[in-house]
Amino acid sequence: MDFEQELKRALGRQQPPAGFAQRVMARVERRRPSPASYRIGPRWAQWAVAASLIVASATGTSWYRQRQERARAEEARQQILLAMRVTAEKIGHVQQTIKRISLEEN
Amino acid sequence: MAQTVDLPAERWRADFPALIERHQAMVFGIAVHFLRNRTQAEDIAQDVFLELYKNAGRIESDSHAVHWLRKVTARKCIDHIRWRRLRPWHGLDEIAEPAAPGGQKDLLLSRGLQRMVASLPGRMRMAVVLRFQEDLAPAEIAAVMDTTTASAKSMVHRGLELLREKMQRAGVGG
Repeated sequence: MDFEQELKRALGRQQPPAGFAQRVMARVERRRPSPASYRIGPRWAQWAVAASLIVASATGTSWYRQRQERARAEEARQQILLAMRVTAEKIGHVQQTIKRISLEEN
Repeated sequence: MAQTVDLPAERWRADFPALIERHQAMVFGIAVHFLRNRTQAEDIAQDVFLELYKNAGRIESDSHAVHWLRKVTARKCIDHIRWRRLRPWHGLDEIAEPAAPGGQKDLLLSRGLQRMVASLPGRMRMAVVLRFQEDLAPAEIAAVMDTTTASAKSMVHRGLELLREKMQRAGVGG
């Protein structure tokens, strides 16, 4: 007996059970991503878009805060001006009353 | 054994079912001779082809695909028996087959040899399967198994010695 020839015969290639290729392709199809989940553009472009969005968001937030602070400062200034105007009117009214009383006494 | 067909990257995936048909006997054969379990061999063969599909961009030609398939099949089979050593599992395929009808001496001899090959230590077993199923030279076995040519040669040589001893003990052939 030629031992090595017997081994070659015993260890020949073997076909898998029928439908093997179809079973592999079914697994391939299950793993394939849907068209909606495909990546758009190269990876560096995705990073650039993400960085731009972060910068734009940070800039927008800062601008919005500054605008709100300016609006509050303006409101406070208007309230002070109104209070000063009211005070001035009252002082004027008091002065007129004092002047009238002193004219009546004389 | 391997056909040499150019496979440009774009055409590659469209040709995948045909590529499976061309190489399934090689991949399944290596796995089934190594594991001696058809269910596990098919699982491994499917995993090997799935991995090939994922790595489509790296494959340059059909002969490259053949080398890649042998390499990944060998790695997965050896990893599998390491894992199985930790979690023993016995499937129906491992149970001894009923005696074949008389006059089928060759078939019995082949099955006896397959059983003896399957009892060799892991890496030695893979070297023997690659040598006799795929008719690879020691340098090619070394490339598939990530080892030196001398080591591949030694594994095949030692494997054959062990198989001859087992045959003599079993009183087969000789």
